[in-house]
Amino acid sequence: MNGKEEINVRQFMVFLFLFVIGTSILLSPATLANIARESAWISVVSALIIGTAFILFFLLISIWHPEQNIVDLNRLLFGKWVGTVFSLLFILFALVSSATVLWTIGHFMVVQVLHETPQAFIHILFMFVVIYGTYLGIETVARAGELFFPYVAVLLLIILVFSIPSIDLNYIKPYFETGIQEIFKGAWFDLSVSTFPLIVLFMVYPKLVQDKKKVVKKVTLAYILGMLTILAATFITTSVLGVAYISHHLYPTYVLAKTLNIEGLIQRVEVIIAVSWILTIFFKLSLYFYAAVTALSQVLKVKSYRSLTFPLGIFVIALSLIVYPSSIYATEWNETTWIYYSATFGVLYPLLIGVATFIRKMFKRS
Amino acid sequence: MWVILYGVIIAISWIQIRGLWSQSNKRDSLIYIVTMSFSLTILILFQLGVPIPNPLEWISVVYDPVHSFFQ
Repeated sequence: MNGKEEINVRQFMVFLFLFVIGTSILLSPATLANIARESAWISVVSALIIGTAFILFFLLISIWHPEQNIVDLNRLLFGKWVGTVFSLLFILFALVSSATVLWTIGHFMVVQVLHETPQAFIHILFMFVVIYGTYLGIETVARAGELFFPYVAVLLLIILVFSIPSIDLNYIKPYFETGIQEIFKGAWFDLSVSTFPLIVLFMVYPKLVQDKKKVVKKVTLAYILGMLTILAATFITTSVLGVAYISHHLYPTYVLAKTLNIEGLIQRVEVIIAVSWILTIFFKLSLYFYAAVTALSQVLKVKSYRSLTFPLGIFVIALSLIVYPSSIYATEWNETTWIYYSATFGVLYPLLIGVATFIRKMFKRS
Repeated sequence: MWVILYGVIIAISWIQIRGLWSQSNKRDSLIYIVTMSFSLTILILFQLGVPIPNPLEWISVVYDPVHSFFQ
């Protein structure tokens, strides 16, 4: 039970891809259309370019510290006390993120699929699967990821490809109308959902991944593929449905699948989107939760993180029931607080690690 | 419904704590009991309809100055 777990680079690429498209595939188009209007897809393109730079920076940190995860790094670079405080803040970030993600899937199911079910029970059922997966270990989740990746990719591809004939380019004209500031605001929102939280993957990546050959190229490729999926979803939803329509919906990609009509033969395929979304959310939630559990077990010096999975899982369920009172609160909070909260951990914190590593190296040399 | 849920949670924790205790991991089982009772308390308070402070509000308080700075 206590043996070291290892996953390979391909499994990590699948993780990265599923993590990036996780919540953003369904949620980003609406918010981006709200912020950047017709230029939503230009926002995603700029997010893709900026995000690739972030990924390269994250990879640089992992090359500097190939054998440490976040908690080890905190202890190494910032000392015992400050390091522990940073680790606790990181755990809080991971727990809050998992609670909000769990609320998102629960709300989606209640609003779109299971209208009569109390939301609490969807949270409980979904979280029990995640707890069990995390209890079995990251290797099991990784293998499940490899197994489910083709389903997610093919299902999304079907929706996106068959929507191409109904694209109307007049919906996304005029280009650059909203101005560069709004475009970057949209890009920031997209990055805060898909790229900045990738910091939690530091609990998995340099330490548990074996055989790191050509890893920079592969990981960047996985990231770019994920962002291209978001780009395709945003572009197609805005150009098929129109900005005014999708900015009034919470889940535009779902609405897109509802309107899909292939020669009158295949209609109402929205559950396909729901299935692929449930799968991607499962992996995103598992990774957040795994990061929280392993970090906490390392801080508390528990022998095996498995003994903490169940209590923390119940805690995440309780937290997810109180975090968002309503979807209006959720949208408001995401746009006013989450973008800064996730930027603190996704931008400032890695920069701090980079600076601390640099200073450490300077002192060692002299 | 909730009673069944609490029954399941307590049964699973009982099994896990007994396993930890028999491996003489007394410290781990203590941590287990503390975290579990904390989480279960929040869950029960939520079910009874007691208003619980929302951690997102505290995070908002911290980041409100940042938000108004960027506007």
